[in-house]
Amino acid sequence: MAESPRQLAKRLCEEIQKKGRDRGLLIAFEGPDGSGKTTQRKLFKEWLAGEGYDVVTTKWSSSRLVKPIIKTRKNMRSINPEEFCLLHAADFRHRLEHDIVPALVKGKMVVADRFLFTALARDAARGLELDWLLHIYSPLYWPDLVFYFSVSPETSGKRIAATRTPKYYEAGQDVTNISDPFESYRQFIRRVIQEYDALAVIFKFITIDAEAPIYDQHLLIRKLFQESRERPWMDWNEEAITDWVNMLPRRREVVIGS
Amino acid sequence: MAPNAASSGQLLSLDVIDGSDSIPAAKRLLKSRAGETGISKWDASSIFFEMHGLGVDERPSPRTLVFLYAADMSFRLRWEILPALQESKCVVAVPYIETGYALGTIAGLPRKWLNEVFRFAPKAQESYRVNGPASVCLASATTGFIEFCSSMMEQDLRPKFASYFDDLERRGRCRSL
Repeated sequence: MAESPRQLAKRLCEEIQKKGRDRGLLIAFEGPDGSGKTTQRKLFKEWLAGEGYDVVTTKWSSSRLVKPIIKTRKNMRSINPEEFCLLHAADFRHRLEHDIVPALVKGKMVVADRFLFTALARDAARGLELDWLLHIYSPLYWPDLVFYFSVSPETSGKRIAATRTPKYYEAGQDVTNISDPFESYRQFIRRVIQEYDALAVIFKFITIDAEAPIYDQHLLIRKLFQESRERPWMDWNEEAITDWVNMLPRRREVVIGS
Repeated sequence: MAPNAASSGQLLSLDVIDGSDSIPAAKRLLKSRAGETGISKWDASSIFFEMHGLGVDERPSPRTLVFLYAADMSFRLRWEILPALQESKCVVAVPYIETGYALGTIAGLPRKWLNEVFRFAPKAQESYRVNGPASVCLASATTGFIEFCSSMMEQDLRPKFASYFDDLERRGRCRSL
């Protein structure tokens, strides 16, 4: 008799658990714009690859299917907070199903340049309820590690202003109604950071002082990663694996990577 | 979360199996209504039309499709439905949230999750469905949401949607047009 999706999901989870410290981890880099997380993510990825890990990177709002839709609407400044949220949720879900979970099931390391918490912080800063956001993003594959690059609103603002003018939605102009993008960014990023700080406590992020020297941060991340290799598989990810199997029937022929 | 739909306007939901039925059926429904009327049609935001044109060889899952449907619904509410209701018009939303629920139910998504996704949408005062035989051939993906989903999931989903609406009608949750 053919294996049911639930049976397959259970088997996949058992296979992942059996790998122990050799299983792939999901590592999220989170923080406001200008916190330097992309620099750190790149350094970390290079280092991981040098250590022999098979690494997959996923970036925020980057799915081949939904990204162009979001980009057009952002350029036209035509979406409100709800549509902003739903479209990013669609993009996230598509990447989770097509890129992230398949890589993890095959035992690869997945480094996420922004993850769910970006949506939670930004959407909550736009006035949406955190509880609603958590519901619509479920079921979720929870990261094994979340590095949160903590930076003050002033530093974030200065770093962004040094390189470019903040974009309309990045500056939160859709909700602040302030015409000056720099002033809008200053106010909006304060709200985003408040949300991030709250999430850091709730979800036990590893906070990195993003105002420290770049290489010091990198060494700390390596150390924290090595300490976490023994991290056990989290049972609540089984729901996300089951959902993945159910949503993509043709992927049922999945093979666990050796 | 749900926008305040309180107004002297009237919101009617109409769910169809064939996308090409949308406008003729909505017009039929509005024929007997007095005063100003309006119709809000699927994909007013153009999300699905644009996605179809992308030519990306990746299929969205039902969960992703529900998000996209909800995003389009939010757009239609903001630009078409709520403004018309505020102007005391009688508006037909064709299709409305039940079509999103139908896809979710067919795909086995939890009702609780669907309730959360569509929490922002006000309830229609009256609900209808077009009951009748579907066209022999499935129309192109941009004709309607069910055609789009059928194309993405590589199966004709019309019988499953029809069965969902049959059940809804049996339970008195909508009427045949």
